[in-house]
Amino acid sequence: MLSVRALNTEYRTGRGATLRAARDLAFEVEKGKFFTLLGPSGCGKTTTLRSIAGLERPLSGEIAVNGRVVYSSERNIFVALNKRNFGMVFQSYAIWPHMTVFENAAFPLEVRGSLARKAVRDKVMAVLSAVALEDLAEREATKLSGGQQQRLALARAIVMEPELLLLDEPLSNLDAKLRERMRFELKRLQRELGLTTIYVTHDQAEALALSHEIAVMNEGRIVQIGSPRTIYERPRDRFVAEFIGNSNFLDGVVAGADNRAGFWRVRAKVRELVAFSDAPLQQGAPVTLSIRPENVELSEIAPEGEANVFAGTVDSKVFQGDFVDFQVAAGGIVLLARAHPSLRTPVGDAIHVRIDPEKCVVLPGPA
Amino acid sequence: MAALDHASQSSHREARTAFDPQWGIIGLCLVVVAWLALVPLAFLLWQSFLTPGVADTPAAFTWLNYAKVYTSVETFRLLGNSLAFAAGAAALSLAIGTALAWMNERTNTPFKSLIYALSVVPLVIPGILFVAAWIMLASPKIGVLNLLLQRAFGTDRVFFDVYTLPGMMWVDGIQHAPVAFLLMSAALRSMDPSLEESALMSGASMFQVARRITLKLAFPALAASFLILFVRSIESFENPALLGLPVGIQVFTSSIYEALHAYPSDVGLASTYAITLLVITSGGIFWQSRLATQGTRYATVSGKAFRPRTMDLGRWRYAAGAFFLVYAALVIGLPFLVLVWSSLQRFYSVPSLAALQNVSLYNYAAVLDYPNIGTAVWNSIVLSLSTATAVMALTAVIAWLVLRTRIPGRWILDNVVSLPMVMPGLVIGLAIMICYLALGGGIYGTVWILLIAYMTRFLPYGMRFNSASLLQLHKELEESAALSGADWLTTFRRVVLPLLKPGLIAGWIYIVIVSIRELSSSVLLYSPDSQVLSVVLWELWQNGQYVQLSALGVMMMAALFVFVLAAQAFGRRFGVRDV
Repeated sequence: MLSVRALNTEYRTGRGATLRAARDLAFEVEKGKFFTLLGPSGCGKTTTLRSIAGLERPLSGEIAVNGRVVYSSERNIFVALNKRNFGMVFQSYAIWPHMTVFENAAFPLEVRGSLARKAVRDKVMAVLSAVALEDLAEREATKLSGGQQQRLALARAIVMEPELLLLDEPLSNLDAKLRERMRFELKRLQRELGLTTIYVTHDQAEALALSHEIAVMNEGRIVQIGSPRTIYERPRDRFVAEFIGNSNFLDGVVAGADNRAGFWRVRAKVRELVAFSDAPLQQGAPVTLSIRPENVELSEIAPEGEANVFAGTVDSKVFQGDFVDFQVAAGGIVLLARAHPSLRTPVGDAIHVRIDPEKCVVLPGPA
Repeated sequence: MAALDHASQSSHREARTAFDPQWGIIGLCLVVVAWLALVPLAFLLWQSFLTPGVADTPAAFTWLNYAKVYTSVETFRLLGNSLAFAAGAAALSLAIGTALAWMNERTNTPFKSLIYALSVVPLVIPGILFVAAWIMLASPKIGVLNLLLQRAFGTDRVFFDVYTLPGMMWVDGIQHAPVAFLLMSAALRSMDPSLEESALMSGASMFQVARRITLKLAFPALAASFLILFVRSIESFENPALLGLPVGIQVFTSSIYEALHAYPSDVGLASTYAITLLVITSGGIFWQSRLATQGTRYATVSGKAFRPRTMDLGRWRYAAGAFFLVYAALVIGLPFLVLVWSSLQRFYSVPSLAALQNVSLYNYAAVLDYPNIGTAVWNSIVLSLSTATAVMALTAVIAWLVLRTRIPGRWILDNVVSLPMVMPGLVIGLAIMICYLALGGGIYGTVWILLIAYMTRFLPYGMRFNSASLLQLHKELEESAALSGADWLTTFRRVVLPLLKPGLIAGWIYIVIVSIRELSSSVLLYSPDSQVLSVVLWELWQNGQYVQLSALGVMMMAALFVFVLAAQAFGRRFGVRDV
């Protein structure tokens, strides 16, 4: 569906300086999928999206949608953005303040001029009711709340049945509660309409919640592409593990393969641990272990007959309502553990730690 | 209950602060501002209902001034001329300024840096010099452009004539296009570029985007800018006085001047004209401020620092670059060159090889020997420095009062300080003249009356600079100073003023410059002892000493230019962004 090859872009700052953004970027998105470009600010994700949209002219590379090449530096093709037929929701929504809700949503159909008035009206009302704005059709666009503006921007982007829907951090201007609700809305709409969607965000929770596939970007390159679960549970390197969620990082040295395939014995400071690795490891190689706080299992009674068990003491804890964060000191390190609030071990008391070998991920290189 | 507690607490606090000595300073500022802005206006209104007082018959109340003015055909011609002149000049400068702003902000036109140099021009070239320069360029008899073209084509046809209504519009319009440029650049910059981008994404063509999005969104800004320029032009004095009066094209400002300089002078008639002019300018400014609020409703600031895409003009960029260069030549190049040329000629003559033999610095020497020149320079410097200092100090307190306190009626104060904005310089001069002639006290005819006039005239500028920077200042900075135990005066002196410094300096520099150029108030208030530089220019023009006027003008522009450069360099060190 969408294929991006060897894309290189640059970014002009407000002060006129030019910075390199995307470097040799390549990815494919299948039809109907929700694909997210995730990364910290300045990683090149927005310039990549704007290049797909046609708002920026890349330095080099090729972009094709459904086999139609919209940009190719080699063949000197650059399809003008108003001929690409992509829908886009901007971070600021870009709702035209001098038009009503209806006029905003009807604009893409009107400028094409191929539909009769009645047909335009029907289509616009259908799309407005899909985003639950049909009752506000005649309202001035500036009178809408943030969430309504966001939905109108979405309606305007999909009314012309675009080949590709581009979303540039559309939820970042909403408050936290509304943002969570809009996540569900957006996901439902995208799945129902089956629109191929490219989404740009720096918010890992949004990316995990919405996407079929996530590309994590750093310094202009894609570090890892995969399903939300893969990205979260099997980060390829420390950057991915750190950027998405929280993680404990332990230094270790490979002691040897364990008896099950994919599992390795790693000597860490606290004790020897059994950990998982996709890639084969060299004995004696320095590695980093990444363990999510919710996978650090705590109990007051020592678990028996299990791997990766050791003892520690509660260093401090923070009650967060739906969970409790414990800092556990063990063997000269401090581990962050996320536990159920029913665990009430006081600070200073002994506590037992168990880590599921499957959730103990080996990353290359020392921490 | 909690709300009640809070309310009673805050009323306690206000009751306590009501007796603080801070109110001494604040009260003084209030009185000074009200005196400056309101009292002369009241006298002007009063005068417009009086018969001219002659030696033996005292002035008496009358409707006659208004009756005479509003039943006279002359007035309607005057009104027609004024409106046509102002509208034409405003339309021309808006058209040029908008084109420049759009090319500069949204396209890849070459010579972009030139445009910012241009925007300083109306600041450093005093109005009278610009008009004089254009007379030397395009008057039918001595205009260089006419003579050169006539020589080239061997005819005696007049190609350009500035002594006409279109000529007046042309000179005023190109002179103030940089103002329009600054206004429209600000408007374009505050417009979220994604509004245009999303229209393109929707499949609209360039033309559809320009017509249905850009132009519609920019409309409030365009209309508001037009009104600002319109009011500016209808207030302008130098242009109608130099270009209109000699050929009998009268507008309000030049008629006020004539009524006062006729014998016997008709102050009542002048006041009636002034009041009429005030009604027009107030209407314009009121309408403008309403449009501006509509404009801010449209202005959505995007969260991202993405610069709008600059449009590739292709081959048209050379045409656009040429437009820049031609405009630069019209607004700086030609006027400056013609002034320099004529300043070097003992008797004015058209540029030629023969005339090149006569180049001398005679006029510079003559101007420096001019009897009053020392006094005039000294007066101008002292007046501009003291006006700027007094206005910035005064308006800092007023801006603080308006923006930071909850004193009931503070919006009235805001309006009082901004009131002189609708008053043309000539009207301020007239009102102050009437006021201090009536009150006596020996101020009339001294430099003090000029100081009062300048302070009145530039109060709104000071207020704008101060309130803009105070708005950016978080209130908590003051509150934490107060919590640390500082009293109001200490907080103001140690926290507010230092943080306002960039705005204070920028405003101060601006007011120094506009005070030095000020002519339209000064021309009614000066006396031989209280001459200032702009008045010397005016007198040289009246006496027909064009070549010496040029010499003084060139020196003045050079001095102002050096001052602006020095101020910008100095200001940058203190974080002043622009002057």
